Amino acid sequence: MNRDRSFAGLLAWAVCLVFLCACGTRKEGAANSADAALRVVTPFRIPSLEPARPASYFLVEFAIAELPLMLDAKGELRPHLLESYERIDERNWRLRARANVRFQNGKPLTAAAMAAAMSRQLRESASTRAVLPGATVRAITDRDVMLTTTRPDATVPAALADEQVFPIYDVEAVEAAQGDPARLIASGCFTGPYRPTSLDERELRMSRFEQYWQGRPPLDAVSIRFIGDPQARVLAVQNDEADLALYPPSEAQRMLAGAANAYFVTSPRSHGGPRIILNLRNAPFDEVAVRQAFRAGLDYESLARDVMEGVGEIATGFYPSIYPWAVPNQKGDPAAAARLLEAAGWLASGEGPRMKNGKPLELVFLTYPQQPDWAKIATAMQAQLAAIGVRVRIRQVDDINSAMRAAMNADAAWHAAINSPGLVTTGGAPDPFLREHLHSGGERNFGGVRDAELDWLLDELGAAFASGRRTEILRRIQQIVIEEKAYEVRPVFLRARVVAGARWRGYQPSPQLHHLTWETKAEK
Amino acid sequence: MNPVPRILARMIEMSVTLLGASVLIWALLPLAPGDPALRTLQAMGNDSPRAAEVKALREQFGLDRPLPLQYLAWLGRALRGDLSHSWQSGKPVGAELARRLPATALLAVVTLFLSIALSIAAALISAAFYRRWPDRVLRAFTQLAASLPGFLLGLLLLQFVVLRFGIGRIVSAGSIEDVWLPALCLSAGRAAEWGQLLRAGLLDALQARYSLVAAARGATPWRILLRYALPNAMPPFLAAIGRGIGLLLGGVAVIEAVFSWPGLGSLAVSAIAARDLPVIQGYVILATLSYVAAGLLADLASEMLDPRLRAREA
Repeated sequence: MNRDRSFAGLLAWAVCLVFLCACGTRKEGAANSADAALRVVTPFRIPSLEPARPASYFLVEFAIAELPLMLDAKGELRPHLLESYERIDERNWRLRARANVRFQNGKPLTAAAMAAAMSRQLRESASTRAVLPGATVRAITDRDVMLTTTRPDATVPAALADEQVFPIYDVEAVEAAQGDPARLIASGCFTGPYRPTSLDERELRMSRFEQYWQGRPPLDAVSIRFIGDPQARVLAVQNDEADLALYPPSEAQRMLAGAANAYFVTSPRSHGGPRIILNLRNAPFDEVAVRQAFRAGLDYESLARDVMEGVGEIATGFYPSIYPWAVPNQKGDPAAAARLLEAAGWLASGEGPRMKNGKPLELVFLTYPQQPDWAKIATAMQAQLAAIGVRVRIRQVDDINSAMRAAMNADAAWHAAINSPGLVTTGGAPDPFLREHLHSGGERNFGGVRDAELDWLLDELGAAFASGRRTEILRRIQQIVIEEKAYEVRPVFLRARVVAGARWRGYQPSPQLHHLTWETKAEK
Repeated sequence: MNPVPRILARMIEMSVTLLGASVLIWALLPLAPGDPALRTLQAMGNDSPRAAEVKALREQFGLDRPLPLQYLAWLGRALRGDLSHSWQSGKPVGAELARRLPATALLAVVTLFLSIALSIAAALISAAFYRRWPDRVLRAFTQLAASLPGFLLGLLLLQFVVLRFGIGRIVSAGSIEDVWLPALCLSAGRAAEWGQLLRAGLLDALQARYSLVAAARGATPWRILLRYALPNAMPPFLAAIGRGIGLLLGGVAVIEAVFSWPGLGSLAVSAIAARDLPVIQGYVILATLSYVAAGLLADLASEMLDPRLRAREA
């Protein structure tokens, strides 16, 4: 018994010792929070600063490199590294470089330097070649550059503002680095307000570029850490190890309700959201009436308010209202949906799904695990459509694009699929996405749309330079796609979101994903 | 007895295992859903790459060639020590693994140290206080620790220890200061399992004749436990540790992901998500190698400790 007692005493001492040691551990994150620095955590690792590599979008998003034009918060194109630009004729564009811009290595940005960067992108970057195939660029004066396309292309201004197309850099410095990451960092080849100082597999560090052409950036230093786990990113902000967590899960909003050290912050307006592609090859979506009933059977308010609480905006059409060409022609009306189905011969049959010629009105709806929010939307839609007699079976596939692509060659067992391929390019052009998804020959026409008028409109759009004409075409396209033929449905529009620490509560997430600008700073 | 022939035989076995593992990975590749080029771009944050970008990347990776040719090209390079380049980062796979190895090795060593220390302490206390309250409490703890999933314990530690009490960090730097919580998570289950194994061995050994003779000669209970029972209970314990070392060196993916630990496991998780085949292949080879090597070392250690095993091998 004595041995038991002395053992218990020893154990109690050990527990006290461990507790005291643990309490003495310093909380390290707090030390950094007072500095004029920004600590960002993002899921996407930055492997290299080489601007012609795939997915070099981060150079612009984190204010390292800049573009000839930039899309502002209202979605309008503004000259950035250019002082001005003009279309000379259908294939030629004159671009005038700003006079006061310098690379981070001190060299001035001349027309020759700009033309060299654009030419290298056209030569080396698959993204650039995909947007402007065969285009050429040459300096025509010490400040002017001529961009020549192979065909009339109305999306040239959007391409100049696309973060993956023409980031401007000092080609001589990039090529002198010969792919060596350390030499590339030391080269000072970009023009942005923050200059990279180190990059490894965990973190990119940057410091202020004092001679930045728009003024002195307010932050001394910026660190971008790569953390794949979404919960860990949110917890990092809560524990004051990071100031901003990018791409947080929507559940984080509920998790942070009432928290005083981390805030779920959203952009005021939405710039996009997922799309629901309807498979026209498979019955019953070969019937226009069933597709229209599917569209009308949804409660868009509930999807935005209850399902995507705080992050969602009601989907009123193909495009959110922030786009000047948006047409608000999508709304839920279950009674109208029921009437459409009745008229098409799909008759109610008690508690189960509607029937036609002995066949039930059943749909297979594809979602994928990489976007957990889509499963929530699918489940809500399943309940809403059941109310009008449509039975929906949700199937989760690992790769939504492959599953849908399978249907392009053969009948596949799906009727609707949710996906988020984007609405416009990062330069603000809707054309590439419309062509890829809705043109008869589109690479991603997964739904099997074959519509002569739509094809004609899309061809017209590519060569329409006047904004009035473009708006007119885009409005007609929306009428066809949403109202008349119901080729697609937009379940909800989503706002950009971040989790911000206490000092960064006033941070505005950018729908264009420009996470950092030269003016970004913490609240006082 | 000279152990060299046996070590050579084990190394030949290991080579065959490695070759088999590499064939298996390449054979399974077409079954995995998703285009690796598309997945690579998506993993880099390009959610909707253009078709031309995907096509260019497929050509760059050589994915348009028949699979057996891709495999043979890879094998040829691997035999020359070149594990190819990561599709995500463009960096040599060997360098990627080497950069992550120190963090995983640190985590493995600390986990091993904690697991062994905790399991030996728990087993000795349980055996010494057999069927009394310390034994009962420890058995309850070990059962709980063995049944609690590591990732759940990890999340609880992050929420309550790091966030509530400010001990440790969410985002690990892979350093000694950050290693304790993930190591504790990893060692909890192992210590419980190994502790139960050692406890059973100790109780058997305490009933053996040599222990009874030692007691009759006046040896104290602790001396019998440490001097006679412990060495005899060690061989199965060491074999279990050997298997554990192999698994630890391969990286423990879930715990590394939960604690953002910059080791091999989290590299493997991101490589699998992005279908970064060269990295997956390099990781599998390293994990297989460490598992087989650790098993071999554990066998040799067991033989050194137990003369009966040496005699049997001879």
